[in-house]
Amino acid sequence: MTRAVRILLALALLGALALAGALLAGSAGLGWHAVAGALVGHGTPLARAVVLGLRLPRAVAAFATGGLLAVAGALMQVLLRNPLADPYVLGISGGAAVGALSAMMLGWAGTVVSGGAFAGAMLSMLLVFGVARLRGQWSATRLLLTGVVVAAGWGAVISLLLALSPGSDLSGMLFWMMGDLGRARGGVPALLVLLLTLAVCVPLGRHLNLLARGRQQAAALGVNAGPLELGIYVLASLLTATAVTVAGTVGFVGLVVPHMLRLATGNDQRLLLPASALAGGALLTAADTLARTVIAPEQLPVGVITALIGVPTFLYLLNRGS
Amino acid sequence: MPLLELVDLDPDVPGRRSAPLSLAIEPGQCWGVLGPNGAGKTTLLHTLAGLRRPASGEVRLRGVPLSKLSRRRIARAIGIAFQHHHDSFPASVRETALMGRHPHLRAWQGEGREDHQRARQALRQTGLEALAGRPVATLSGGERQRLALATVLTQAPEIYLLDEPTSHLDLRHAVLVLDRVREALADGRHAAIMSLHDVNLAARYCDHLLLLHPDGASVHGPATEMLREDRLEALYAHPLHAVETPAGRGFLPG
Repeated sequence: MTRAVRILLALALLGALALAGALLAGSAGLGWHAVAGALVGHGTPLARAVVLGLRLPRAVAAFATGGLLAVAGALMQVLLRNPLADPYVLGISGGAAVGALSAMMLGWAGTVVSGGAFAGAMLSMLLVFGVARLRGQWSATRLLLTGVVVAAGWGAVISLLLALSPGSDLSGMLFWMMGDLGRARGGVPALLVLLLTLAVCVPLGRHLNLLARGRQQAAALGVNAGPLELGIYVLASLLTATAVTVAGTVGFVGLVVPHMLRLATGNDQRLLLPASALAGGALLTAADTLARTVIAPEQLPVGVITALIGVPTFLYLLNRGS
Repeated sequence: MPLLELVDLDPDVPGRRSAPLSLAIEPGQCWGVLGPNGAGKTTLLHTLAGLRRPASGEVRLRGVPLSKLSRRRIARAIGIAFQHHHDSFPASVRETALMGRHPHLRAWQGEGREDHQRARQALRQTGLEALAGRPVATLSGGERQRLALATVLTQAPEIYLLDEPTSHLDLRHAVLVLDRVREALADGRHAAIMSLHDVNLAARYCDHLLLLHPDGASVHGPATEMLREDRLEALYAHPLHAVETPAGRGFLPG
């Protein structure tokens, strides 16, 4: 068994444990027997309602979101040739937040908020791409600068929206911005998006490895760098948009997970991308389980937990790395 | 048919036009490109590798313009070792040499035993075998430069483009690297074009020379015709003295 297969199996096991934990933990007091029964369609109606109706969709949504964010982060890092890039660095999350908060301010909820988030993310993607290309070819630095400035602009609009909103809306808005899986729907489509992305990207892994060495080196070894970069940009943006549409702007997963795995396993994208999907999914699923159980029946925004885990881990790795 | 042909080529050096350059590179030849800083040596090599579009004229690989070939097809025939390297992400020396196999592999295909063997051999040839497991970031400037050559040797192209392959190298390693280039050309089916700053290394290793002047003018021909005091003095705008030594003719700055 090769090293890559061993690493992926270990991470898959971790993911399975996180999912099992998410199904078992909660206030309904169901043992593993009742949960397993409900999963295969037995057990009491209450157990089935709790496990199949509440915990399973939420766990799937958490796993898919975490996986999407981690893969999007890994792709952004290759695209920008910067190991500190994350899925939100180019303003996707800012655009999504403006879309979602505007919808909330107008009194909408549910699907319209999700739709607003997706529309805002797409708008931001086109805006950054358009501006970065205004004067001929983009470079990684130019794209990064454009994205960071656009993100700062979105930040200002978000502050404005929060300042203008009635107090009753504020807590919902803040929850959305810190990441909230409580109302998450669409876990299964998100999971499909994740699987499709991996099916496309893993065969391109060697191309991505070369792109990480710079556009020129990649081109010299036969990679069509321009179209590949454009493809990565669009794909990473779509992944990020899907993730924030499902769960709001959950922080740190997209930055910390690929970075951590890179330090542990190296920078071969053929291993890094699937490993990121599994580790990101496991991390967010575990974080969400904590978020809804530590001060139950109240819930914490899951972004708080990922940040609490993410910040110290990241600082540790950064200092160990240097 | 020449391996590589420059037809009325003006490589797009920023801020000036160059006199159209036409020359043919035949299999077995080793070309040196000499010129002061800013003469356009790197720009020319990048243009020959198809990485930059020329301002006018074209480059032909076995008679076919580079603009009509895919990047992958070009990369199988032309390998280039850059002067500068951007190592943003951690990678090992072995992985970096193995990159050279990319144009020969299909998308799904992983590197096989033969690919690893070629990488190992290239690292041995460049004296880096003992460093194979080391992170690239820990290499010295000269070791990094030799690794760039190892990657191109692993790539095994027909034409080697080397941008100052001896920069950062000590005397022994400079000779070692250029000996490897000559070995790669020994079968008479490959060619090399390298930019050099050391006239004496060029005299020792190159059979043809291209002298690039900073104003865009150029002369080229067999090395024996190019290596004259008057030509080199004009090129570098500095007096030179030719000296005869047991190792051949050398040049000292006056």
